[in-house]
Amino acid sequence: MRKGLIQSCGEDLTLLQIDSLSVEYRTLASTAKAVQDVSIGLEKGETLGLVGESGSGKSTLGLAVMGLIRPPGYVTSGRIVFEGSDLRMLSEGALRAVRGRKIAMIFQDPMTSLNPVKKIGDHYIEYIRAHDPTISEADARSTAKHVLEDLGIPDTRIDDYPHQFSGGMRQRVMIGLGLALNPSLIIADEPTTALDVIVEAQILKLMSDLKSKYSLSLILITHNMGVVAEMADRVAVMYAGRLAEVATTTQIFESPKHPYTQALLDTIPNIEAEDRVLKAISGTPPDLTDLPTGCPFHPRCPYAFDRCRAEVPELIQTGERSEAACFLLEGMLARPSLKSRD
Amino acid sequence: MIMILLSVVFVVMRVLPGNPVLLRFEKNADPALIAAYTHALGLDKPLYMQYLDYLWNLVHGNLGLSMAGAFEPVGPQILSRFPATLELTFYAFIVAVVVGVLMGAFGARKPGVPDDTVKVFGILIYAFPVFFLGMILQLIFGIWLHWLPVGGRLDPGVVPTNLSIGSVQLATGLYTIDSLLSGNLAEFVDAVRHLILPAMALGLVISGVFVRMTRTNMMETMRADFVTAARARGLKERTVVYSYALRNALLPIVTIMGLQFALLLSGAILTETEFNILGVGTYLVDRINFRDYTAVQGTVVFLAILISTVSLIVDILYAYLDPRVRL
Amino acid sequence: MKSSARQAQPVSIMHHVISPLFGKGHGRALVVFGFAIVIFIAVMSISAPYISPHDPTLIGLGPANSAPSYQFPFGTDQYGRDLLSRTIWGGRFIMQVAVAAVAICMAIGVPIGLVSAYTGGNVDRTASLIMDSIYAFPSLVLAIMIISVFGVTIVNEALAIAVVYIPSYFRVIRSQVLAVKEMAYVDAAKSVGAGVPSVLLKYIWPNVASSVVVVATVNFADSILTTAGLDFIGLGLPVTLPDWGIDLTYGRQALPIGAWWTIAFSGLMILLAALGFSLISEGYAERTNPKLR
Repeated sequence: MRKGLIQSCGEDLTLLQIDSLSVEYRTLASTAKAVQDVSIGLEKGETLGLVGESGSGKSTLGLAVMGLIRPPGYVTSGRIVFEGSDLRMLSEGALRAVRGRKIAMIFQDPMTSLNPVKKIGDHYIEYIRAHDPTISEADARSTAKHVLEDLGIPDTRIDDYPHQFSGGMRQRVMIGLGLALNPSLIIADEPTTALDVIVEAQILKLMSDLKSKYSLSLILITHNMGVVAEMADRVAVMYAGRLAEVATTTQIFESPKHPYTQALLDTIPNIEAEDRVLKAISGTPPDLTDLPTGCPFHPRCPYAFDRCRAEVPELIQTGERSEAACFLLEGMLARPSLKSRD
Repeated sequence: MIMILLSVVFVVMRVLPGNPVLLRFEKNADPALIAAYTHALGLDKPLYMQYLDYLWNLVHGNLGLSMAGAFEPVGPQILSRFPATLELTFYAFIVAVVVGVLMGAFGARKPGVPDDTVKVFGILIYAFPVFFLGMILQLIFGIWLHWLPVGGRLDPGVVPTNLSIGSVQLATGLYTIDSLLSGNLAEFVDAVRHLILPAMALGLVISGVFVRMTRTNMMETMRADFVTAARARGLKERTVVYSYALRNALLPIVTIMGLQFALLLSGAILTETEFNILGVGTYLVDRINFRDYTAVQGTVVFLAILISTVSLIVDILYAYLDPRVRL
Repeated sequence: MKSSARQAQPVSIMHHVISPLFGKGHGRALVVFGFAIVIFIAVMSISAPYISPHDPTLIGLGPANSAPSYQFPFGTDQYGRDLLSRTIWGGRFIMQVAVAAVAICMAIGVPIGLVSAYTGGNVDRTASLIMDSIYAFPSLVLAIMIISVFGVTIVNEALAIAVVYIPSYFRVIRSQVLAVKEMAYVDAAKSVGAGVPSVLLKYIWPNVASSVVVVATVNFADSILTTAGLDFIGLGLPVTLPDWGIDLTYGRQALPIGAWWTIAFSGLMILLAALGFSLISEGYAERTNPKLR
């Protein structure tokens, strides 16, 4: 059993490497362990889907990469190596240069992510000039117009306010803000959750096109397996702040190894299934201030045995670029009850 | 809305007590004198006519006639006292806003001990009786330290400038402005010295509200998505705090400015009394002591109109500041 | 809120009004401190006749304007009266007015708010319009108006102060009622045949109770300050009776000779009284408002 550090064949393909990252939220009453000992890597040009229920720590992980964890949140350990340097070691000024320029973030609710008293154009201009004060306002403005056009927003609307746009257009504006300075990595936190299905499809297609056009790497945080199936190359499943399983999209959907992943996939309604029962995972997600000992999933796991309650499973490699954290995989125990979809 | 206020004033001052002239003169006066007074003030007409007269007069800017002596119109008397009150409230307001917002923002950004201090300060200062605070300031800065004057608007011997071109009076009555306009620096300094203590007393007490509101709004706004998003774009912390968080946090505060103005006026009445400033507040108190009820009524009406006007201006200002309301 | 639909009413009030007072966490210090101050002042004022060392109205007990000493711990005023006694007695009028004002306010504002919100329509619109007009008016000015004509009594002052505060209660009650009115369990109760008054009382009151506490305590604080202010400008009790506000007016005259004790204690007491209630109000608001945590 070794710690699951995914190494790709050539070191220079790795864009981002997170090592043993932990994040806590401390209040007067308690401490919530939002992220525990997470290690994962991302290659250039890859789209990584980060999935889990609310409270799994996926958003916190995204914020941590950006250095946006503020008290009462604290990053308690780990390294975040991006393009060769550890982001945690950078000064605030250096980090600010990275944020928005090399790594950009897109947020969930476009209604609340834009400053209601600022014009759309001003969002762009301020942002562009913050990273390069030598750019004149006129130049920044024309860059903004180009970006908006790229996204399908008429540039005449550059002086409008956020509340004058529809949800889908606002999200495009946000995506534009993420792309304007050609970052190498985009972290998208539930980018389509607040949008209706039709708009969601448009936005996903847009993101896909932009990704190829600008050779972007993308971390897509979502709880929607459908989105993941469509967009992601690799999937990381998180539960209660820990990684449960990491694998390619195909592997995840065809042969999930971790019981939690299996249960998640089971909950996706399948119109072709013979029984018309909606499945849910029994039990509730754990309280992050009061986590059970051992594997965090054991209270809800149909296969749990004694060891699960005592020790925390580490990630075990299950394939070339996949791993899962479950004792069941150790020594390849015979598991007749697990569904085999190989 | 203003109609309701005006009507309430009318009811309390005229209808309820009956004949205010009687109140003034009590028992011993000559009935003929009373009758003459009553007639001169139009108080012998039927009530509904009095009400109509009241409204008609108001529209024409007539706030009634004083009952003291020669039936002088109340309006001009109030207006002559108004600049003093305006000056005081204006500077006090600035103190209140500056102190309030800065402290509130400070508390929101630095949780822990600094925040607790700000919180307690906000509650404490607002509970302070403004005249008591005035007294303390007078005692410390005026009597013990001899740094600042204890009352009035100018030292005896300093004559306020008379700005006029030909026969046209230009003076605003606000000594700080007039003296600057006419280049009389000595007068300006003197006026400011006299204003510091009263403006501080009144301003600090009113700042309590701003401290608390700014603090709560900032705390909420700092957690808003657009603030995190702005940081995620790599904007400087200062930009994020002022242009994103504070700007939005202050919006709801503008809506209560109208209310604060009313409080400012009440406080001004007390502050003027304490610091011997001859403004509308002291005029009101004087008139009460002289049992000049029509003047009291006129003054209250004036204040009601003033407050309503300010509320209206505030509403318009808010629409200007919040683009969501404009369209 | 979940408890009110299932449990009997007395328990719900406990839950919403009393328990926020004692649980752990934010704001408790404020509430406890505030309560301590208020109780102290209440006890002092009520027991004044028994604990006051001298008669507060006796002139010439000691030298005029003498500094605090062993004999007169708070010093004496310009008439040689003992300031300690006057301070102990000085809160009675102010507190009585405050209690009366709050009582009147609640008695009028709450029912009107309840009825107006529940009935809706034109009644609600008219009531809201009237309330909004009065709301912005400074209580001091209105009080001046009423007292100058009608004279000073506890009831008059209380009435004057109450009028301007009624809209606060009205608004708070109204918004709570409107919110709760839409909730399913009220409809459920109605469908089982519960009558209008019982619906209002049982389901709406417990939720509303905690907001009323906040408004009431602010009301108290404001009333104390306004009454003191009125006393200060001469619209208070006849001057011989002990009162913190009046003591400030006269103590003031001794200021130029640096006699700080003539104003310090009375002023401090007014401040403490207002502060006590304000602390309770803030502490309460903090504990029952999730956004502030």
